[in-house]
Amino acid sequence: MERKDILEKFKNAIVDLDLDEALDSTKEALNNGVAPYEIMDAMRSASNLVGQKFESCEYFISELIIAGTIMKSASDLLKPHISGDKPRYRGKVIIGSAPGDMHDIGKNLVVVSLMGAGFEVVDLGIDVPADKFVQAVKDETPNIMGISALTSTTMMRIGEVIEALKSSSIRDKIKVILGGAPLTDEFAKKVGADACAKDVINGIKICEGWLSESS
Amino acid sequence: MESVSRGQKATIYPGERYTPRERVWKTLEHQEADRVPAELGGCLSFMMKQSYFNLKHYLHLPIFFKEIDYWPGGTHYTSFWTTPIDERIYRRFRIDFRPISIRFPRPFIPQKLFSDNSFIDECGFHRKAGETYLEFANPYPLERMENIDEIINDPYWPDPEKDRSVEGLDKKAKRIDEGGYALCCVAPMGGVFETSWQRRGFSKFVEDIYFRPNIANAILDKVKEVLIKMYGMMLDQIGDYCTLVGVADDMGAQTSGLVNLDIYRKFIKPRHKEIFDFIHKKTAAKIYLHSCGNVDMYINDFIEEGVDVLNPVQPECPDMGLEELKDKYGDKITFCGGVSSQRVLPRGTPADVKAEVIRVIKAAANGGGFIVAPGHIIQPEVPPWNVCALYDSVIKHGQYPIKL
Repeated sequence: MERKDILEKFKNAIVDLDLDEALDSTKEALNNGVAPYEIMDAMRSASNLVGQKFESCEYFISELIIAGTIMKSASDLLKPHISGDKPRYRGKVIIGSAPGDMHDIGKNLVVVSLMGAGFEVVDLGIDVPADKFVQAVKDETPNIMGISALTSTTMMRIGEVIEALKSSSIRDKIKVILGGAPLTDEFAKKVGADACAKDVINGIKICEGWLSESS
Repeated sequence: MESVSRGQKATIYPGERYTPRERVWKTLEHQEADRVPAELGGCLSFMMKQSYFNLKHYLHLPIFFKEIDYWPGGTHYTSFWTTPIDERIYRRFRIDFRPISIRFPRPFIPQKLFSDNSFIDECGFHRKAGETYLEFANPYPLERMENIDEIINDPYWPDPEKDRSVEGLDKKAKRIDEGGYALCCVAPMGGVFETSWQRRGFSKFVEDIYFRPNIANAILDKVKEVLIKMYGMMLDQIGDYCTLVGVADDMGAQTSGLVNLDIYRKFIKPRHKEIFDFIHKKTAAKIYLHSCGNVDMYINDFIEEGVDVLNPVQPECPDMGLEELKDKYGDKITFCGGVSSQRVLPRGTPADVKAEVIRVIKAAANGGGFIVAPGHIIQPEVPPWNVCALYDSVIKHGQYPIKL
């Protein structure tokens, strides 16, 4: 089978949520000398197609989770092969739940979906204090920071994270995107964030848009 | 406020013609009663303890010792999720419903306590107190198990016959029934889907459904068995007194369903149906389903399963506008909820809340089949004057025939 056919098979396996086929074709691609970054490119376009199916209501949260699991498993197979070569990420995102917010199902889905879309992601976890976000920006030098909140109470603490970025003079170094059930564009604007994602796929698109602007 | 005890007869106020129970039954039968029923903490619409205490202060009501728990930072924990509401508040707001549930007969002791103060609770969930609430904590108790025997024999599965008691439930139910209120029997845990993932982990459970269906089926069956046991124990005692039996199974995220419809129909719907059929054999009560988020895609299936009332109908979610829902399903299901709890209740003024109540009544109350309630848990920062504005507006503007 030709390389492009193997990659096509790999891509279709992710979109069709076929774990075994995705892993088999990853191995097959590697055995045929396909470069890991080419496989990652195919994963990105698969991730894009999964997103389109979510937008057209063919896929739901359950399918995003499964696609994420498959892409993560395929990435694990690729890792040993890219150790000498620096992976070509599209950008770096740090992400965490707002101070006081202990929910992480949505955030975790964003993490795996961003990874599938070719981003390097640093997950700071739940109930992340403002100073931890600030420190992570300094240590990790990301392009984007994601803050998640599920309740109308905890969303009110997103502002303190953005204020902390401002007082550390690093707000301008990154884009800030918010996500979570009660959040709105108006709220994002009010607290000084750059955007509010209405769902996982919308959030990824916004991040991709920022990176293509900056490149 | 005058002191009242639970079970004291309901007051029929000027302009009203029915007891709360009669009003609710008319509504459930899609007829217009004397006014639109109102719900708070009587079925499965909750109030966080912080806002509840603020409300008590505001209404000059004392806080009882039994309402205070020992978690730091005002985090609340009750083995029965909803805060027990003071009978005087129920009456002040003219709440038509009263809850009843199986009892946990001894002081709450975690089944297992970890060094980070997280613990396995009485339902077998791993929980940890945060600043405002208890959240499910990682790792989920069954997350790392790989074989069915290990999962099914996990020692932390709830065992209602061993851990719970229905002693005295019949007397309590009779008192509430004779008081003229609509009694809602609820289980102190969620339905088959949410309990399964709350024990297994959300992603892991969805992966089970796709890649290890035998494990998904075993977990779902175990939860179903626990729920059937729990409802059976309760309804054998109080089935004759119930107007509603409440089941909580969240199927929606904010913008869409959590699982696709094929999965829902294969894994969840048959178990819902089995539980609801079992409940129907024990009582003439209607089935009240609490299912958060955008659940529009499941509503036809809910109706086929035998769901009579859907709560909380979150207006901020796409597809969950009351007017559209009423048009599509209004003759087959009653809606309970609809008042914006993500935006208007926490951030609006009392005038905004009043406008919101008028909006939901206009959208859904004509012809019955609608109960006013918050579109989700009343959050800690909701000011008490907004809670009062909500229920005062139902009293003022909810009179049939609706003239808004």
